[in-house]
Amino acid sequence: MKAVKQSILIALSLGVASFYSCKKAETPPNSPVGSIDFTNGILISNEGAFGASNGSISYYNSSLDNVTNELFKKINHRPLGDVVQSIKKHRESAYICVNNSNKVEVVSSTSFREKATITGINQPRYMVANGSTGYISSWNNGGEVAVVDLNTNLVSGIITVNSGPEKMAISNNNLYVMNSGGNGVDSTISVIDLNNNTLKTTITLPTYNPTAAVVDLNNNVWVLAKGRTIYDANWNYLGDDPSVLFKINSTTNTIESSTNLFATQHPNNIDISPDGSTLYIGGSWGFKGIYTVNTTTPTTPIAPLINELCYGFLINKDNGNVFILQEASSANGKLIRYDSSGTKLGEYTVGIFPNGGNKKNRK
Amino acid sequence: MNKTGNNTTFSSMGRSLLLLPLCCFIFSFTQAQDSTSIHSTQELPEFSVSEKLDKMFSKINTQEIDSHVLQSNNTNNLATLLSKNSAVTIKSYGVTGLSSISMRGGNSNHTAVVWNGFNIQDPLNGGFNFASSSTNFVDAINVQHGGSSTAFGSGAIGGTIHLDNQPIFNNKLFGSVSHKIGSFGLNATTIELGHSKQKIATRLRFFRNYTNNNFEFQNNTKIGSPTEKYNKAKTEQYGFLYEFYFKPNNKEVFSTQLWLQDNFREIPPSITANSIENQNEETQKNQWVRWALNWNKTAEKLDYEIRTGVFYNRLNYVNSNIQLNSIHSSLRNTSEAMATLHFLKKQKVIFGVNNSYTVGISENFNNSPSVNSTALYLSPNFSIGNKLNLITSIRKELYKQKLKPITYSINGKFNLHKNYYLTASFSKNYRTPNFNDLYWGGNAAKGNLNLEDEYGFSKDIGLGLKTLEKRITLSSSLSFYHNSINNQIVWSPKGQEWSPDNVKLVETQGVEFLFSSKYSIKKTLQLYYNLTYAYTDAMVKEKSDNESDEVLGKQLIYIPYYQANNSFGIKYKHLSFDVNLQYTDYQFTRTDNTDWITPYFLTDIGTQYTLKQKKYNLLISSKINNLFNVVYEARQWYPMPRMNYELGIKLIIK
Repeated sequence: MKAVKQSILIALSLGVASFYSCKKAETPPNSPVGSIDFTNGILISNEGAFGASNGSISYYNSSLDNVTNELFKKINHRPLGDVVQSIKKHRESAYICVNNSNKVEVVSSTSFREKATITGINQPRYMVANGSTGYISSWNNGGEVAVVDLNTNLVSGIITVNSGPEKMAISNNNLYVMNSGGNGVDSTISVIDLNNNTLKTTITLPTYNPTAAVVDLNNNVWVLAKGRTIYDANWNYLGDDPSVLFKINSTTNTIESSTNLFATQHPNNIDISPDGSTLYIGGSWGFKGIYTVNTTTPTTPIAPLINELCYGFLINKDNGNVFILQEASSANGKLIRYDSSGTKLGEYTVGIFPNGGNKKNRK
Repeated sequence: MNKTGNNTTFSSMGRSLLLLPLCCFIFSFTQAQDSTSIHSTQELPEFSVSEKLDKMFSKINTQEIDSHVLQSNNTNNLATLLSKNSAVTIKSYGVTGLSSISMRGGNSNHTAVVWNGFNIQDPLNGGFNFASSSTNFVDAINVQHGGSSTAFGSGAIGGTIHLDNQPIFNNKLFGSVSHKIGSFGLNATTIELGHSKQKIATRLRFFRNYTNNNFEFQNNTKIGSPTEKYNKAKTEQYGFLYEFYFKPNNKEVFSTQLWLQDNFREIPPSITANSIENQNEETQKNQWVRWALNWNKTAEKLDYEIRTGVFYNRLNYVNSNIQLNSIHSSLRNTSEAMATLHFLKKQKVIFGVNNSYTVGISENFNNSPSVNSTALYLSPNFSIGNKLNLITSIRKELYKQKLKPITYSINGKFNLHKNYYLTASFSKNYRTPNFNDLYWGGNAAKGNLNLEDEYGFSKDIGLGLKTLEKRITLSSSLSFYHNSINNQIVWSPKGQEWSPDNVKLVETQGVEFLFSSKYSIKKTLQLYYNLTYAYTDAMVKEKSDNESDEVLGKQLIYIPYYQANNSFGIKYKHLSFDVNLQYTDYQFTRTDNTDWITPYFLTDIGTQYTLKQKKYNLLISSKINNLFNVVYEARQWYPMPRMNYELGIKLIIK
């Protein structure tokens, strides 16, 4: 029994030693949000790590030249959700498409306080607005555009489009929906008549996967078709279809011009300078550089304006500055600001997988 | 997620609370030791289908899950059992989700899972879902900590979980039927039938587990924090295990085991999703066939184990949200021959050869890739007097016609006293890339055929004690370890495609403390107390280029610094009562450690009454899980059930 006693005492000593020989867990700091002026700045959507529901919104304050992260969570004391695909400011609200959480959060664009959650839209991607009607592209059932009454924040109709609708543009009372193919292939743009919210026509492009569009001062719609990488049935690489820039006449809904961009690279995004003279192209996994194309005489870009990797980007319509958004895997990414001539202005930490932000459309 | 300044205090308090039962137990022992002693009912060790663990490692650094614990978790899955009764970390993806394991900071494919001597990790992703495996299909579970289990092959960097079947040669017909009901639609049935004669034993086991998991929770991720309920979180499992043993003489056993299982689960989304109650269909159906054939022979000089097995695994994942319906399958044959040569009284050398041929079948693979590997291993074990036991092993593998570097381990056990011992081990191990890492093909992701092995070094020292007296059995061990895993495979974007590379270095250090005891106060009154505790400091030291610098030096996600389990039981005549306390510390949910889930402390209680008759026993059991209705998440934004109950009845035919 003496041995047992000794054993117990030793076991107890071992236990106590193991408990208290370890370092204390570090507790992460809490950083409350202060008073924020939302009148002069850019809202940035950060997807978050897929499946982790840590998508977020960052806010670049132009007056203070700083960034506030986790805006939604700090102000509304709840997480935003999984894969924050985009944010769109319209009138007194900002609409946040949370793709993998199948919802659109509506917040005040002045206080960022929660106002409503739009439900009934699976896989929401992007939103554009026309007066009190919102149009939200969604990958539900292959491809849909949900029509939302922005007074009630309820879905009032569904317009079926082709596969994987992404960004949209409004010109001449038409809604141009880029059918990107989703996880597959598509070559079409669905044109929706905003008078009756019905499909007016479908434009078929001579290449693949249109993903983004902007409208210039002359109501032309500039479309970026990112092209594709071609594999055989066994996923062997066969080649690429190039990325191509198209100019669409929004009166006739026909292609006015096309410009080959990159033979083997497939950028996702296009934006336009405040004066409508310059198109900016870039943004995607591993795509390096922001390239420019003149809207008067579009030609294949040779060298990038900014030679940075960027997952997403946007143009600040107030001054033409370029916001480069870099991902850093499952940790916070970076915002790098450049002026329109390509001079670096500053670097800031934003959320996980920053992909874009609020910007005013030309129209 | 709210965090208060009292968290560290709570953490310390949680640890102190865990120590309290230990102190109480010691107090009760010192008070009771003069009472009438009884004869301990020492159980004889049973024969396992594979004796490889015992022969090669003498179970150093190994926790054997108590048979009482196995019995009381009879209808639970292995994830629940291990999370409440061992020092491993179970990473759960919600209430019906995948439950993978982490040992010593490694990820799931750094822990080998061995069933009767066969590695049964999924060859496609290297993982193993512990939530799919029912406890009642295994008769012994050993948790081997550290990378010293070199002979078990690729993957055993963090440790190895051994699941074993043990034949019963009792010369009679036996069987049992059990049924359990519980909260959230729990409905579990087990049937077992066995028969043995002097030379032949057969046993057949069947189970069905069904749970709706339709529990309510407050959804704090939505405006107004509404109360919601999971509607599509059902799990349903059917399993069938047949064993046949033929013992022509006392030194030889032929055996075969056939394990069929069908697992279906609905996968509820994170509660940040809009449509919890009317979600789209997201399901997973996992089916497997595991068949093994073994021959074991023991002799004075030479023991043999020869085995072959076929393992088929099929996974069907459906997600209507993204119009995905994919099927991924694998087929593997493993054959092994092992011999143990005994010489000079206590010395022995073990040598063996293991061949494995695996085919992966998936629409994401180019054709059906296959891998053939053959490994030779040698393990000399030396005993020097009664003091020192030295166990060494080396292994060389020919993998896809290329020779892998030698892996090795050295384990020492030094007996300080008949009850106390010191242990130390050092090992090098590796993990070959899995099929998805190598062969995956898809629109935006592609495997990398040039991947190298991950490799790791593991070292630990420990102190242990084992006391076996008439009324008390007690064992305890304390281990300090350091592990490094180099060349860790990370998927990252390359150009516009994701692909894997060998870029990461993770270093882990920690402490493991195990304590188990049984105490017979009287013939009719027994107590038991078990404690497991782990401190794990697992940090990223090197990262991929595209990862933020902020991840360097940070704790890995979902690896708590502290975790502990206490279980206390008392048995009086035919009535027993158990309490289980589980503490899990903060778990970071972001790689830069800026978000986390809070610690939780769970309490389960259970009671069982056994009605003993001449020809049968009737067991009536009840259990309350999460007694104090703790609101917690094991995965961020995936709530776990609050207080819930189980009621069971089991008829055992003797």
